[in-house]
Amino acid sequence: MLLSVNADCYTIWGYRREILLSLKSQKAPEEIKDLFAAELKFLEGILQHWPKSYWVWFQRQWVAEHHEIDFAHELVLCSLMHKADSRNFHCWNYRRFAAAKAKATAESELAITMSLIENDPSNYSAWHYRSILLPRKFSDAPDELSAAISEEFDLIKQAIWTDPSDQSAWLYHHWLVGVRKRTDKAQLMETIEQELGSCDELLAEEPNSRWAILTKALLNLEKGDFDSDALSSDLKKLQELDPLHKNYYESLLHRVNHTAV
Amino acid sequence: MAATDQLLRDKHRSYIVALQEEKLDSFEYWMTEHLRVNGVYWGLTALEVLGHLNDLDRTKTIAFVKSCQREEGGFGGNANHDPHLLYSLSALQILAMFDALGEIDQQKTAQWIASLQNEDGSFNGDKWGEVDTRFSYCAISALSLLNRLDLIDVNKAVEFILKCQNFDGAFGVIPDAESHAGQTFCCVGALAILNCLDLIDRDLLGWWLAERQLKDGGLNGRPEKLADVCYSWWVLSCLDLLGKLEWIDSDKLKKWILKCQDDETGGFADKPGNMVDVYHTCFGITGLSLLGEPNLKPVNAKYCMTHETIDRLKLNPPPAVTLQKTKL
Repeated sequence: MLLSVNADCYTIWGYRREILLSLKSQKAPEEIKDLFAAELKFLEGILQHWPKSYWVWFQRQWVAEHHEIDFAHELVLCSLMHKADSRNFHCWNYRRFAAAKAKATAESELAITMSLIENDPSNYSAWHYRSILLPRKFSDAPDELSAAISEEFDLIKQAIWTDPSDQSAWLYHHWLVGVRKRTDKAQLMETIEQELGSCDELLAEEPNSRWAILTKALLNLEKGDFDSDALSSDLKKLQELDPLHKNYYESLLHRVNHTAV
Repeated sequence: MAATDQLLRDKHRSYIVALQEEKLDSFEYWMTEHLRVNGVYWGLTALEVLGHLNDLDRTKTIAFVKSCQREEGGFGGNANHDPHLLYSLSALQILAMFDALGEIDQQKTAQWIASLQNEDGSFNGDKWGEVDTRFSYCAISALSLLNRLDLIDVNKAVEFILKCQNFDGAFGVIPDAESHAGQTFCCVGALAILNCLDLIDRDLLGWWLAERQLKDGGLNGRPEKLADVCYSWWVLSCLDLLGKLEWIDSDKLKKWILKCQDDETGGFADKPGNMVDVYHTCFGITGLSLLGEPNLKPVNAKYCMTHETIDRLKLNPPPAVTLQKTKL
């Protein structure tokens, strides 16, 4: 009762756990099953009003670790909650916990992220999850990883063109270049040229896209062999377009001036 | 509530002092009862930075903190609440500010905290086993204040924190969790206390942090979210520790923070025009101090306490961390 009014009253959750453990040691299996089912039901109710409480999510995880529960159902619960708020990181963390217990495949989880991205390409949480799943899925298969990363570049291009001002896509793009550099150096230069081309394509439509200009600058710095004057001019343009971050761009200008070609 | 461009020092002082009153018929009072120790830390820190630590009654406050200590050694959020790292750190910070760490059994507290470290280096919040980088920070900061970092495995602690670093350079709650500025402060602060910030990609993280500044000047906690005054602390302190404070526009941020004040009641709200609370008041004021607002005591970004208090404690250097930097 108290917890429905104040689900952050953590000592009461502890008290509940003591009671559940005590009853678990005394009651018959059927009764224990009902007890924990009731606790899960109770938690579902609480989560509707307190979807972002660390204490509540931990209670659910605790129940799941002390009693056999249906993890497939838990994944459905997570998907439902993400329909209401796809950026709820508590729910994402719980989803990853449940997915591991349910032995969900990387494919199925990648599919979940895809459906979210198709609905809204600006879903940082979904891109973040992909950054975890892809390297793990292909940890023993560098060629397959390389192919997957190539596909990701295509995917992120679509997101970028949907909304060039959305930082999620650009930050993920930056990471993709890094992965290419770390895992398939032979293809790096080709990738850089390809992506420079993509940026120029976008800039032809949106000449003041600061993310495109910044990404070009970072790609050029990575390439090492660049036109200093052109790059400096781009960075100075960024300082005008985005004065909030002018000192960050200044630090990149410093790198331009101190990079031996 | 009118917009304002000055720091309303006296208003904030009276706001915080008035919170000491036991408002037993207030719903808000009871909703926050379980974290009262945090509330006192936030209020006291704000007052200390304003230069008026002794606006709060030293004797009563110390007695209150001591009443929160449980027999295991840890502190609860209030008397009769279970011990937890979140409240234990605040308790120690309050005692440190009043130069009263000697009034508790420090050994017992330190041992309880150290007992919460897991084999993988992470920390449980309490006996129930929840793991979170917030708890890594609370443990490391608390043990640092007690000069008992020797009781934990610092290499493992750092190893776990590094596992929480993401594709964008920032940090989440646990490994695989999405980056969040609050959790990032916890990780960066902990690494800073242990002198091993060189183990992370500082440029990448600095950039992600700088991108938290929105066009209105305020800072958000992660992409596509709204600005909130508390991120003036969580984000700013990280930038300070990374030596990249100038990567955001300080003037614009300062103006935005000041707009979050309530010129009638005193205190800061999360956003301009909203209701104030002591948590946002603390981080609005500590954020302003980092931005060089005059007549505020300088704040040590690792601890979110004044340099004055931290220097007075004469803390030992931390045990050496011997991990090598690896590529993400």
